[in-house]
Amino acid sequence: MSLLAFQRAMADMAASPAMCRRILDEGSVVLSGYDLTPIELRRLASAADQRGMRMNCMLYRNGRLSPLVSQLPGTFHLLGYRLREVAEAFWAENPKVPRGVPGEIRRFAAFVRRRVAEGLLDEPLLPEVLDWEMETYELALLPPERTRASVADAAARARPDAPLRPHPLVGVARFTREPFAVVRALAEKRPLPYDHAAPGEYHVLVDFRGAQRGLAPLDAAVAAAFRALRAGEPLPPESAAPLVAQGLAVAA
Amino acid sequence: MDTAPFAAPTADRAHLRALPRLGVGLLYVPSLPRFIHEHVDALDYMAIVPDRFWVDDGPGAGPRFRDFDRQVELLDWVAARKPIVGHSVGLSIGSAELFDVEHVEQVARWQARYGFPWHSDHLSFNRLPGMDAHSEDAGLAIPVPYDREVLEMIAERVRRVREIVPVPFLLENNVYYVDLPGQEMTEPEFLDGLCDRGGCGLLLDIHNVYVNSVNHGFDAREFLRAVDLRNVVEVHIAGGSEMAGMYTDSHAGPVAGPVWDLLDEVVERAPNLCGITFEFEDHYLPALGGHDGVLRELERARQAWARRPAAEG
Repeated sequence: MSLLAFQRAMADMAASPAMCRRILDEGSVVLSGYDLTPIELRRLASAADQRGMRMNCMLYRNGRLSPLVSQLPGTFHLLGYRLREVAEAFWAENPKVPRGVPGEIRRFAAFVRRRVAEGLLDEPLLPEVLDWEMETYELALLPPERTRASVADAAARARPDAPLRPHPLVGVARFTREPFAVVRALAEKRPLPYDHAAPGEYHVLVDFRGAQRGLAPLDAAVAAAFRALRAGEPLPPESAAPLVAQGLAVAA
Repeated sequence: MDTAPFAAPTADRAHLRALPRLGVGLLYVPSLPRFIHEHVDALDYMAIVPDRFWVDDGPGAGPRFRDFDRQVELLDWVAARKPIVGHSVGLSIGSAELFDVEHVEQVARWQARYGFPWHSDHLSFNRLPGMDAHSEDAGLAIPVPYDREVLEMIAERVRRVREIVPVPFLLENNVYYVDLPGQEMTEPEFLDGLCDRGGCGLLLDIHNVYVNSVNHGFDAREFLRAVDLRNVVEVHIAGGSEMAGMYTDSHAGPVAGPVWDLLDEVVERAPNLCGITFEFEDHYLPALGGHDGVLRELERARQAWARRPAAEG
């Protein structure tokens, strides 16, 4: 039990600079909840006082943040000075690291959406950039060649008056400012506001069907039809026709 | 510190001597697909972290391991052209009261699928037993204390890994930022004891040795003289960066200058060395100078590889 308790305490300290400070301030009584030997207590008390433990704390935080930042760079850019506060709140609510990066990214996206809905994050571009990046991320998880091959026949058989499903390698995203100007500004890490991007109602197609990933303007009615299809709603043939014509739907 | 010699049977290392001498390789990161497609012949092998090619839903999930298909497509392409070496992060062999046989079996499946000539993991723990069937992720890799009790625990696990995966198993020496007082063995004693008791080889991360020497004030060359280099099958080389008053193993760009000198020394003195693997962190590709920068590091590593005594004549 002792080695396990020691390891649990080390991991808890790396996850909590506050715990390390309490050990320094209050002594090893802070560790009384762990079943430790005297030498383990001495090692942990020493560790709490070392710059190396502060490094472990930073590495823990970097390790949790870096997959999120690398997959959702625009979202993190828009969080800006709120990043630390949002990350701290996310970790407080989710102290355990889940298995696998996709789980952590989906959990973080859901957390940000909830804070937006609660009015705790008010940057208007944030939810739409997050949605676009999540749409892109989910498509990037799919194997392009195998997925293309798996729907080739269904794509050839697609008819507007027959049951359809969305092509698995495309997604849609909605923007309230001209999306290509927004995407360029995010890539250049330009500070807000993005007033140069004209306001309006825009839809884009996130397209992974070809060798190169694409982002293209999409007609509002087509985007609405695609969303309805994805939600499992029945589509009249006249709404389904452009989806079939553009290869955005395949035979169910 | 108690420095009494550790009573250990002598391993004959025949299983290490029989391994193919591959040459110079690269640890795969997600920014590399285009590089790999354009420069695959600059590599003698590619090292991969197999755990990053699958999703692990944890014990009890059926199936527990699901391929990350997009990445696997690329891996299949490389495997048709070059040897693949597995370097896992998910075993957490140092975890008390947790030994994940299913993970080892998954590594064995991947060894069979891609023909890893050897495979490796880290001498640390990054998981803790959870309250349910799922273990908790510690959030970072934390070194184990160099004590006899820990050595015995890990050596037994190494033997089990070797039973399940039919190729040599290597453990990578740690980078450590915290210096634990009162450890029973020095790091070289622990590494040598583990190789002897468990029958594993050593993946000597030379940058880790360098980082530790900078942060804890010892001579990296003394470390290399103290550790038994006959156990070394693969070396890792990398660069680092300063953060909060310490030098870190951040894999930030080119290989650190002193690491090249240490590499030359290791290559000349490690008779069972089979590969030199260059590592860099994904988002440092621009700092490295893009693809040309990667090629430069590989070429310098190839110069070191040519210093092997066996390569002479």
